[in-house]
Amino acid sequence: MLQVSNLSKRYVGADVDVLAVDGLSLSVPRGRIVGFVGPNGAGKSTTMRSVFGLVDPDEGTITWDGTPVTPAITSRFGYMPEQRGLYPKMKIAEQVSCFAQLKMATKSDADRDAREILTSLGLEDRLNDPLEKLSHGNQQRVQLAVSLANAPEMLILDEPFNGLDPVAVKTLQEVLTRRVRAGTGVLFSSHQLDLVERLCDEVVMISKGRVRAAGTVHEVRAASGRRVVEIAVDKPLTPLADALGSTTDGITLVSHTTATATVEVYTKELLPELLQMALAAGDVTRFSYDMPSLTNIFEDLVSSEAEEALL
Amino acid sequence: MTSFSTPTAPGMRPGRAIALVTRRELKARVFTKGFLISLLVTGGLIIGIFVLGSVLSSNDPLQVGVLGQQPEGVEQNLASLAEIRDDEVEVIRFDTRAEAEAAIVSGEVSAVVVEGSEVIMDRTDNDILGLISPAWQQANLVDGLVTQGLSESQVGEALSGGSLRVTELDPDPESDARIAVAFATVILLFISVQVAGSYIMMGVFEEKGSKIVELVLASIPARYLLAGKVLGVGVLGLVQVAVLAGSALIGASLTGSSALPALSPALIGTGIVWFLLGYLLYGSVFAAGASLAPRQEDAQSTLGPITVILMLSYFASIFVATDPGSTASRIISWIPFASPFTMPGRTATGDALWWEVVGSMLVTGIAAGTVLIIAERVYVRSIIHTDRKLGWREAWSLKS
Repeated sequence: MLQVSNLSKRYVGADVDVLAVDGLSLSVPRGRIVGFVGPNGAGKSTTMRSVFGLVDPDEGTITWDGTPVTPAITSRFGYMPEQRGLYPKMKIAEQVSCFAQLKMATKSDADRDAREILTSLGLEDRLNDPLEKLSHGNQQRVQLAVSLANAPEMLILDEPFNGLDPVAVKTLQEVLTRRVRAGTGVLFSSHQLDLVERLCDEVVMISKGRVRAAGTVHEVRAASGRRVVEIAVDKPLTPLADALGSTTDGITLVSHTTATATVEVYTKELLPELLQMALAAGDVTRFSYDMPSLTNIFEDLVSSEAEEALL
Repeated sequence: MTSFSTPTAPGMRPGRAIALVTRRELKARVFTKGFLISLLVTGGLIIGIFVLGSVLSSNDPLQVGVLGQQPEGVEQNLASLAEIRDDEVEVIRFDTRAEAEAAIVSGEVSAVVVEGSEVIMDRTDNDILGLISPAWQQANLVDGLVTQGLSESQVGEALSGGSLRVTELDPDPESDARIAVAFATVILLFISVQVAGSYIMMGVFEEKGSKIVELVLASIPARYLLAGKVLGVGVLGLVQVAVLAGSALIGASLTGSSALPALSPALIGTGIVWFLLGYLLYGSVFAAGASLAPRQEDAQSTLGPITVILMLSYFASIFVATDPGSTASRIISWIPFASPFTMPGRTATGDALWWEVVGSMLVTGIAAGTVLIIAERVYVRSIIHTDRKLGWREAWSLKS
């Protein structure tokens, strides 16, 4: 299990003073896939780079199965940096093999691994092409292949879905799922929250270097009190809509037709009150609600952050 | 389907990581068409210069015809006079005056001497006359003296008494060739060090500018990357120096050039050591300087000073090659950044004493070691900062 505990990093320079990571903790067990989400500049990349020693944290520890990580340990991890980059003139199979060998794989293992991974990513016809001859999307696949080579025990992928077409997104999902089933732990950051919701066992949501929500996707969604309610009444909805529009803190009318209304409540404790109001408008034919999506929660996080900034 | 290779044993093996980087570096640079072609062309050019030089300087033997009776010993006289002029003479006999004249007109011979008393030429050529006249005068003189009753030994004694004794101030017959070799050595070393240095610089830029370094450093420590790169480009530079020096040797041997004695094993051996020292000294500074700049455009300020030092050292070495024995040259050739170019120049001219060579190699070696330690520290601390330009001082004091 990868364990990041109480990590802090402040960047101080001539014209910068940013607390990028502020006492952040998270863990990624083997065989689990953890989504790492948060607004730009929240500290995701800094946290990921810290695992590989590319950032020197001011405080905190990073351990793998209880042992502080060292280059020897992280050479068994796969990494896809936010800043993509490979040798432009090197043939792609050679390139993937070269990075696998840097992680101490033998040449024959690395060559075989490189061929197989690139083939599984649909690049079997391009093995001997230099990277620069490939399209942007295919270069991205090569970058991914580099992180997957040498059977890493842990995958740390910074925005791996960025710049992929829908087919490639699907391929990557399949590859990750397969690796996770085989026991690899995966931590990946993404802004595609629907994808995170579908793919991840757990999610860690951060902003300003601190964890704001963490747990299984269900737990994170359930922890939010916000509910989106669909209401239908057998009489015209206008009186209810007027009532909702004028009263009650924490209940917002999102949209309505003559027959149905979509209402948002900021805490689920307000649901009985909303039901009372609906009943007062007539016979309620529908009153359904669901937990907010990760996207909703993320939006809340960003807007509360904006409010904090105003204060 | 993806299969999993066997997880390898944990633990970094520096030798293996460095070897991998070295191999990649060699593959990326040596096995490019551009490098191989430029190496072949340069080697070919060097051989070509020797061949061209020997063709231009070689003379066909001078053809002199004779007709009728000639004084005794005239052919030996001709041969020895021609030798003084670094020339050769071939004597051709004719039976009739008509034949002789036809041969002159056709250019087969330059002149024909008739009966030891007349020279037929197309028109008066003082250069040829200056060779022919003394030969016949001397032969005729000996003939005359013998006719007067002197014995041949008496005549020989009388003639040898008249020749001048020669005192040589610069007895080395190859001194011009040595200076030429000194220049060539200096230029070759300068170019080799500069090329290797710029390869290092380009390699660092390639990795830093395109952020490859992020991924490499997630796998191996920065100092292995630097070591592998310096080794790889060093091997490449050695190949280049060997090919160029080899071409010079081949060219000189093929043409029997007067430069051959100056191209001694001592010069080539110390030249290779000087290349390595110069390469380490300059290459490590280039690597560190390049690592400070996130883009190639930012490198002018970080690499400016070392470029100036390199150029000054080159000009110094040209000065030293023209005046290798002076006190100024002796002193300059001990300055570490200049030694790799100046001392080999003095070795080529034969002015450097063995202890000067060994001593200055030690001094340069110590300097190169010190620079390498500083450069390694700067490189390791700055290479990962792909976001902004760093100063030398700032990089030195960063946490690693």
